[in-house]
Amino acid sequence: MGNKERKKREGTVSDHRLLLLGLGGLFLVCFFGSFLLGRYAVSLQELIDVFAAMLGREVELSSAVQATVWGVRLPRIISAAAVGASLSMAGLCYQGLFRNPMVSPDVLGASAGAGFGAALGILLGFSYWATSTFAFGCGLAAVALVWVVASQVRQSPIVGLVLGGIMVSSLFSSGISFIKLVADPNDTLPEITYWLMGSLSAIRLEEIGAALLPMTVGAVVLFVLRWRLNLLTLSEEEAQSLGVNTRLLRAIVVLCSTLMTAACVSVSGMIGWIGLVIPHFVRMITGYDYRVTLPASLLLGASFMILVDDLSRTLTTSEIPLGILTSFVGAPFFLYLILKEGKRQ
Amino acid sequence: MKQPQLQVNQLSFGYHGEPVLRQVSFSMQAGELMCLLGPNGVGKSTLFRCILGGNSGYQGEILLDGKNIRTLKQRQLAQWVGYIPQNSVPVFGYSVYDTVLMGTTVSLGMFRNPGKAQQQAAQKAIEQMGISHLSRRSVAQLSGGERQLVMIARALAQKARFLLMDEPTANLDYGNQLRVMRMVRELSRQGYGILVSTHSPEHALQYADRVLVLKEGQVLCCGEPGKVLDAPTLSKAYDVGIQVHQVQQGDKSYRVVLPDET
Repeated sequence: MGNKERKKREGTVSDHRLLLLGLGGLFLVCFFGSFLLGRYAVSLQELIDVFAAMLGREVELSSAVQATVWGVRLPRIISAAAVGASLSMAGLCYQGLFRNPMVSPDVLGASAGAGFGAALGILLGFSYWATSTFAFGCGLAAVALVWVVASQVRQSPIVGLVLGGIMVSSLFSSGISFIKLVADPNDTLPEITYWLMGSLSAIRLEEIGAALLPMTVGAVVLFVLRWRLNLLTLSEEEAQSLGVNTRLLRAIVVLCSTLMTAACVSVSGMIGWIGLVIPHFVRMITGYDYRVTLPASLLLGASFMILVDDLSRTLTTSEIPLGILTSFVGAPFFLYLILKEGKRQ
Repeated sequence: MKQPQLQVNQLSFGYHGEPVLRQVSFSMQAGELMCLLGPNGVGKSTLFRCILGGNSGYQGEILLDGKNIRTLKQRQLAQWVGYIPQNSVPVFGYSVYDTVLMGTTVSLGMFRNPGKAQQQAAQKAIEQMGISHLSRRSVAQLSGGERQLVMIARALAQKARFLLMDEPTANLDYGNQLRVMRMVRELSRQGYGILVSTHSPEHALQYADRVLVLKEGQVLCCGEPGKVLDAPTLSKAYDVGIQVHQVQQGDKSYRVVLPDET
């Protein structure tokens, strides 16, 4: 058996090993490069010194540099990476589950629910920590409500989920509008509005630490199930006839994606487009196999979000909310992808 | 050697109290090709769904090799019965190889990815269907006939003894219809038990070992096509006048189906 023949037999995963390595490299460059960007200048030498000091080397460092790297930039970069990766992975999984490439992670109302929770938390004067936790809980509750509604729809579980998602999202969105209406326009309202537009500026290491837990749990479970996610894109009958317990698998995927999405929204506010654009782009360069697209979405989503967050804090003197930037970058990019795809066919 | 059997006893099923299948009974063996005939909406797909474990609210019993399928897990059932859905373009354009590889999932635990054995099984199924040259192509870009071969290859990779095919010849040109039916008969000779739903009585007469005709959710007749598919039966099944003629070709005689316009 020739080398070419063997490669053919091994299928798509080994073909894309190089690509995944490349994406991993891109992620590392974005991750470490972002320490150098921001209002307080940190040079490459200083950054190397900071990491050398962490590894126990004796180096001279100004405390300002250390505070900037560890206290300000590290939490932001980690949270940007985690949020970008989570939203991309959740979007990718939902798109397969709903057999629709236009679905985004908020399809089941996780974002609207978490947004409502956050708005209510801010209105009631909760601390940042309590607001985040409350937002996370509301996001889970919204999706649980959708799940209950969908289970009443007998014929097609997918249609039930979509309709339930639309209903619950709209319910929570009107809740948000109402809270904005009654919020004090001098301080509470701007805070809610700013939060809803998405930002990582207030983040601290402890807070992202707590959000990382549900994100990691979701990501690990989805990653372990990556082969089966492929079968979820088939029709219900086909997947069942191939031996898949579709009800169980669907429940697990919804739970994991919800954990990840709600955790994202509860620390960063609503950041749109990323869960739609990144999976689309990944499928375009790698094909459809989840064994490839899942890790690729993780790496690319994290890199992209880090870059967008870099823009958010360097473009202007005051920070631009992330949600605005992702739409600004994401929407035209998405249009470009669709046009390019159209041309190819 | 006794072949494994698929046995359906007194199967009844309804949606929202509206009966679709009524007291359907038949059995078939591995190595046998059975055609399922009947007008639109008679419950052919419902019957398939019952056998595949998707409709659990039925009365009666379905036995595979003597075991009630209610006692089998989805995965155990899939080791016995494969399904080849009606021709449709998939939303996601998986490659032919990946699609066939999905058939091997039945041999994997929940958290496992396909390994060497599964890759070889997929490759073998692709070669068996003679579609190696399409291996890298996207299933969404294939013609209807090619896609049908991919679906059959996926079922072969699944290594189930019984295959249910939902109108495999729908939307195919005449040549491809014959090619697919020949392939199906060839597979039954290799030991697969195949239940094919079709709208062509000719296919049943030409290729099937036995035929099952459903009418209003009940079994109208079941047996060798050359014996049971006559003009009165077909006319009754489809509610139109149909003639059946004998044609002598050498020392073989064929039955042909013609519309009765008189």
